[in-house]
Amino acid sequence: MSQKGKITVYQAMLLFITATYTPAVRLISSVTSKEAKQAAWLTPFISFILFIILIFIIHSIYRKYKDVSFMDAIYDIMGSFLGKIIVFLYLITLIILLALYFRYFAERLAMSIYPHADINFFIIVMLGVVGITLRHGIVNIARMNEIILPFITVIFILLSLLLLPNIKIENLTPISYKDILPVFNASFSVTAIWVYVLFVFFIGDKIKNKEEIKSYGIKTGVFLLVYTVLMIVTSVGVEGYSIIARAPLSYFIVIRDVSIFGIIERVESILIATWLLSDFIIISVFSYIILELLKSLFNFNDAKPLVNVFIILLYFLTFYLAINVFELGAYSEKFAIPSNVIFGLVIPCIIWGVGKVRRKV
Amino acid sequence: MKRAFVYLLICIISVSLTGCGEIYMDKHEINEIDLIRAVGLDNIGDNNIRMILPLLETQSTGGRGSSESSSPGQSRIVKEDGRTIFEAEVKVHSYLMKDLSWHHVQFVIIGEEAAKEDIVKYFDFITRDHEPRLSMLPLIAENDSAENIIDQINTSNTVIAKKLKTITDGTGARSVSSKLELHDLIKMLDNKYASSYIPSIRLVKRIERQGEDKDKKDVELNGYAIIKGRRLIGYINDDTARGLNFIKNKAEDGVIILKDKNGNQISMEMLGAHTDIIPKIKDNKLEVDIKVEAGFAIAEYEGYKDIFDKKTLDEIVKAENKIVKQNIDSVVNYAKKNKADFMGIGDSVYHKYPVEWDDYYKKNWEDNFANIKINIDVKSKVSRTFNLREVTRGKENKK
Amino acid sequence: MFFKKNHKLEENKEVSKIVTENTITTQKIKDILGKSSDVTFRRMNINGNKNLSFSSVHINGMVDSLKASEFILQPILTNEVFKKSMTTEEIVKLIEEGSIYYASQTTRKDLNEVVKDVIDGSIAIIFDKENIAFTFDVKGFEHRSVSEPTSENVRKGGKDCFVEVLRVNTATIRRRIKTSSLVFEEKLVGEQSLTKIAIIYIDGITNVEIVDNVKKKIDEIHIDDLISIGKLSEYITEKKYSLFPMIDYTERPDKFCADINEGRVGIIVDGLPLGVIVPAELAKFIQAPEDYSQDPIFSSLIRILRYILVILTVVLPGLYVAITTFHSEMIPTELAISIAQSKEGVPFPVFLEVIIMLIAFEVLVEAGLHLPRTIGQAVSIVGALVVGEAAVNAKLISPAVVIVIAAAAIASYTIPNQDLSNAIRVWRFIFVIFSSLAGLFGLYMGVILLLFILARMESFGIPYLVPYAGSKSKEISDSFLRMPNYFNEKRPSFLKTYNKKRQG
Repeated sequence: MSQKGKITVYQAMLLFITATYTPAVRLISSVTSKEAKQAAWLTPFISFILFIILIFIIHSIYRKYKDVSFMDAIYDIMGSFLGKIIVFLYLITLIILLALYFRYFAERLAMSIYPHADINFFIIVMLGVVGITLRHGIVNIARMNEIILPFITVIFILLSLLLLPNIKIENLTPISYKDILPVFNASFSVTAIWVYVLFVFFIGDKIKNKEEIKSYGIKTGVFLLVYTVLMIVTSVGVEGYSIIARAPLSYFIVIRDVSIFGIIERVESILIATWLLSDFIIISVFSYIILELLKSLFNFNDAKPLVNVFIILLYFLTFYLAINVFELGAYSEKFAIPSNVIFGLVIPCIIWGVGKVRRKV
Repeated sequence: MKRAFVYLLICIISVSLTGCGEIYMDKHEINEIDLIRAVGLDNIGDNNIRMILPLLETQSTGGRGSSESSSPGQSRIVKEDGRTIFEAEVKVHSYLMKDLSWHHVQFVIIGEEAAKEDIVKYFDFITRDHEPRLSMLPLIAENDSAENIIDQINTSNTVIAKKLKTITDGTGARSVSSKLELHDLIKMLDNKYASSYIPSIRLVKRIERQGEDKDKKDVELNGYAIIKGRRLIGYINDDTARGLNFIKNKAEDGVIILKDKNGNQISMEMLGAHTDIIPKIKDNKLEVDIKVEAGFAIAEYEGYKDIFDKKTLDEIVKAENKIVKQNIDSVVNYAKKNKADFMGIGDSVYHKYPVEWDDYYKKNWEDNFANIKINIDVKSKVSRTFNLREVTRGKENKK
Repeated sequence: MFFKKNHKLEENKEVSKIVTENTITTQKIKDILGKSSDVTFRRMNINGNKNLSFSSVHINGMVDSLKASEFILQPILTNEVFKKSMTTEEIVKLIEEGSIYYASQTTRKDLNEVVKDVIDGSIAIIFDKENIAFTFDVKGFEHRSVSEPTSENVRKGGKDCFVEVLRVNTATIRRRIKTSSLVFEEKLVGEQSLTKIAIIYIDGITNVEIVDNVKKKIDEIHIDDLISIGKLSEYITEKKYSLFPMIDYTERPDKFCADINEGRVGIIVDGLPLGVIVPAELAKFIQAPEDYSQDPIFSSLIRILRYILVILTVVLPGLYVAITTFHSEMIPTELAISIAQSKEGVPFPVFLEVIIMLIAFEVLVEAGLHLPRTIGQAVSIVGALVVGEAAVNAKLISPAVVIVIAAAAIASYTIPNQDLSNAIRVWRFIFVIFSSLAGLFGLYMGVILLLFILARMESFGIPYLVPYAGSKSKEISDSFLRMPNYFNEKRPSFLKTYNKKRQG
C-alpha cells in the first residue's frame, strides 16, 4: 500500500506497461512488418535483451542512491553542470514525446471513428481531464492504473483468442538467415518504446522499495515480450505483412474483420476503450514526469502551480508539432525512434559507465 | 471541488468556441442512415465509373400486431456516374434522403470491362476509406456488367445481399468456386510474382417466376476470374476451377461421375481433399510435386452389378485419381499457357527455399514457370456409402 | 424558565467541585424532571416510620412496574432486615451491602447521573438526608422482538436481526463472538438525544489506529440528536460530498460479526436496528453474506457475474446512445437494420429516449416506495402497461430502448448494497449525457473521471478500490472470487490487523 504520496515499484512497472500499450498498438506492427516483413514477430526477442540490460543498469544505479530520483543520481555522478545539461535534454525529449502522443491520440480518433471531427475538441477535453487528475499526485493515477491495466490485458487476450483461428502460418514464415539483419533493424522501434521504463524512474523519489527493481523488471520484460509477440503474430498472421505495413492503425483493421460464428463481430468499440485508457495514462504519467523534471531543474519546491501553465503550453505545442499526420508519422519514425534509443538506452549506459569509473555506483 | 467546476467551465467554453458543431457532423441517428450491403462498379468508357447501389426499403416494425419479419420489397437501385468512385459517392449524397453508410457493405461486384481495364484502381477507394471493411467479398461479373447483374437479380422477394450471401455460402456444393475476402485478394495483388483470382458470377435462367419478375434471371457462382498484374485475362470454370479448388485446399463437396466396366455411371460424392504443394530442387532444376489425397463416397449407382468387391473398388479408385488429375492438369495448363501463377506455386517455393527464391527464381517467375515440371500425384479412396449397399434387384443380368 | 434552566445547566457544568450544588434531593429532581407527566414521584416510609422515608422516581412506560414493585419496593418496604433499623443511615448501609436483592444496582451521588439513569429507564430510590440515591435498572419498555430482517433476504443464515435496543443487540453479538477480547466501548452522542453508541472491536486483532480514529471522529460530533443513520455516516466519513457509500450497514448480526472478525470496527447506535461497519471498501459492497453459505465455485461465478453486471448497468445505456448515434458501424448489420426499423417514426433522438426512460424508471421506483401497499400493486401494473406497451405503440419510444433500460435497471438491483446502487444510478445518467455529447470518446472520458474519483477516495486511510488497487497483494481469493476456506488463511492485509492469520 502506498503511504502518503508514494507508489511501489510494482505500481510503477504497471504504469510503464500501460504506457507502452499506446505506441505499441500504433507503431510496432506496421514498422516491424515494413522492415522485417514476415519475420516481424522475432523482433521483440532482441529488444527483450536490451531491456534487461537497461533494468540491470537502473537497479545497479539505485543500489547506491536509494531514495532519490534519477535526476539526482545524474547530478551526483556527472557533476552538477553536465548533469543539468543532460536533464535539460531529457526534458526537451520528453516534452516533444508528450506532444507527439497527444497529437497522435487525437489524430487516431479522427482517423478511425470520428472522421469529421475537429481534433481541438479531443485535445481540450483530454487536457481538462489530465489537468484535474494531475494535481492530486501520482498515487491516484497509479491506483487507477491498477484497474486499467488488468482490464486492457483481459480485453487483449480475448481479442487475441478471437483472432487465433484466422492466423495463417504462411504469413509468418519462412525465416532464413537473410532475415536477421532486417529483424535487428526493426527491433529498434520496439526498443524505442520499452526504454520508457527509464523515464518512469525520473520520479524515483516517489517510488518505494527499490530493491525489487530487478525482480519486477524481469517479470515486466517477460510480460512485454509475450504481449508484443502475440500482437505481431495476430496482426501479421491474419492479414499478411504487406497490408499491415501500409496501415497506420494496423491492429484496428485486423479487429474490424473479426467475425466468429457470424455473431461476435464489430468488437472494435472495446478496442477503442483500451486505447483511450492507455492514452490517458501515458499522457498523465509523462506530464507528471515533466513536472518533476522542471522541479528538479529549476529547484522549485512544489510543481502544483505549474500545472495550469504547463497545460496551456502543451496545447499550443501539440498543434505546432506537425502540420498533418504524415509529418507526424515521419517524425515519429525517423527522429523519435533513434532519439528514444539514444536517450533511453545509450545515455544511461554512459552514465552507469562514468559512475563505475568514478566509483560512485 | 471548486477547481473541478472551474475546469469544467473552461472545458465547456473552449469546446463551444472551437465550434462543437464539428463533432456533430459525425452524429447521425441510426434510422437516418442508409445501409448499403452490396455495391456494383462498372467502367462506362471515357474514364468514367458508374457506381450502382442497391438500397433497402425500410419500414417501421414497432408496435404490436405488425409482423416481425419485414417483407422486403424490391430494392431501389441508385446508379451514379463520376470520374472516380468517390466523386460518384459524393454526388449520390446530394440527392439521397439519408446518409450513406459503407460500414456494412458485404459484396463488391466489378463489371468485366472494368476488370479488364485496371482492377486495382477500383479497389483503392474501398481499401483506403475508413468505412468499408476488408472482410467484404469481391466478385467479378462474367461477360457482363455489374449494372446488368444487379438489375437482373433485383426481384421483389429477395434482398440482393442476402441472395449473394446464399450463393457464396453454398460454394461447397459443387466446389467450383469459393469465398474470397478482400484482404486475401489484396495480399495476392500485393505479390509481385504471382497472379490473383477472384470468384466470378454470371447470369443464368433457372427459376420460373411470375408477374413483373418474369424475365428476371438468376445469378450463379461459377468459377474464377484470373487477374494478371492489374488486368483480367480470362476465366476458369467447371472442372478447371475445381482443379484450382483442389490445389488451394478449398474442395469440399461435389460430384464426380465414373463409368464402370459396363458403362454404367457411378456418382461419387467428394468428401474432402487435402493437397500439399512440395517444391524440390533436383540437379539444380526446380520441380514441383502436387500431392492430393481425396476421399469419396459412393452416392449413386446406375447399374446392377455388385461393385463392392476389391477389384471393382480398386478400379473405381483408379478412375477417380484420373479424373482429379485431369482437373488439376487443366488448371496447371491454363496457368502455364497464360503465364499466370495464381495457384500459389511460387509462394510455396519461396516458403521452402527462401534464399534460392530471392536470389534466383523470383526473377521473371511467371514467364519461366511454364517450363517447370509439375508432377501431380493423386491418392484417393472410397470411404463409404450410405443407407443401402448393394443395388436393388441386383444380381440380375439386365443386358 | 429559560434562564432558570440555563442557570441550572451552568451549574451542572461545573460538576463535582461544588458538591453541595449537586447533591441529590428529591426537590431538585422534581425541578428538573417534574414538568413531564410520565414522571412519577412517590414518597414512602419504611415500616410506616416517618423517620425512615425515601422517595422513588421513575418514568412510566420506561420501567417494568412489576419488576420495580416486586424486586425493589417490596423488599424495601417489607423486608425483615429493614424492620430493625432506626435511622436512614443504617438503611443506606444495608442497601449498599445488598439487602435489596436485585442484580443491577448502582449507587449514585451525583444529581446528573441520577437523572440520566431515570431517563434511561431505571427507578431511583432517593434518601434526602444522606443525599444519596440508588438506581435500579428495571427497563421494561416495549420493543420489537428479534425477528427476521425486513430489508435483507436470508436463506441459509441465522434469521435474527438487530432491534432498536442497544443492550439486546450487544447480547446478540456476544452470543456469536464469545471471545473475551471482544470489547464494547460506549459513548454518548447528541446534546438532546444523549444516544448511546457502542464501538465494538476485538482487542488484539483490530488495528488500534482505526479504533482511535473512529473514537476521535465520534467525539467530534456536536449535534442535537442522532436519530437517523445519515448524521452518523456524515460525521464519520471524511468526504462529505461523495455519492459512494464509505461505510457499510447491515441488519444481520452474522454479517456484522464476520466483519468484526476480519479486523473491522463496528458501531451500534441505540434506537437504530442497524450495525455499522467501518472501514468499508468498494469490493465489500459487492459481496453478500449468502456467498459464504453456498458452494465456493457457484459463489465465485455469481460474484464474477455481479461484477460484470455492475459494469454493465452503469455503462450500457451510455454505450447504447453512443453506438446508435455516432458509431453505427459497431453493430452487426442485421441488428442495425432491425434497430433502425424499430426506431422509424419515433420523434425523439435516442439520447432523449434513453433519458426519458431512465427518469421514468426512477419515478416508478420512487412511487413504489411511498405508496401504501394496497395501491402499490395497481400502480405497478399501470406503470408496466403504460411505459411498456402504450408508449411503444404510440411511437414515443422505440422497443429497443425499453429493453436496454430494463436490462440495465434490473442489473442494478443485483448489487447487494442499496447505497452503491443509488450512486451507480446517478452515474448512469452522467454517462448518458457524456455519450450524447461526444459518442464513445465522451463515454470513456466519463469512465476515466469515475475511476479517478473512486481511486481518490479513502476510508480511514484505506483506499476505496482496495484490494484491486493500492494494496500489496491482490487477495483475489476473497474479493473477486469466493474460494474455499483453506485459501483464506490471512485476514485482509489492508486492514493491518495484528493477528494476521485467520484460522487460529
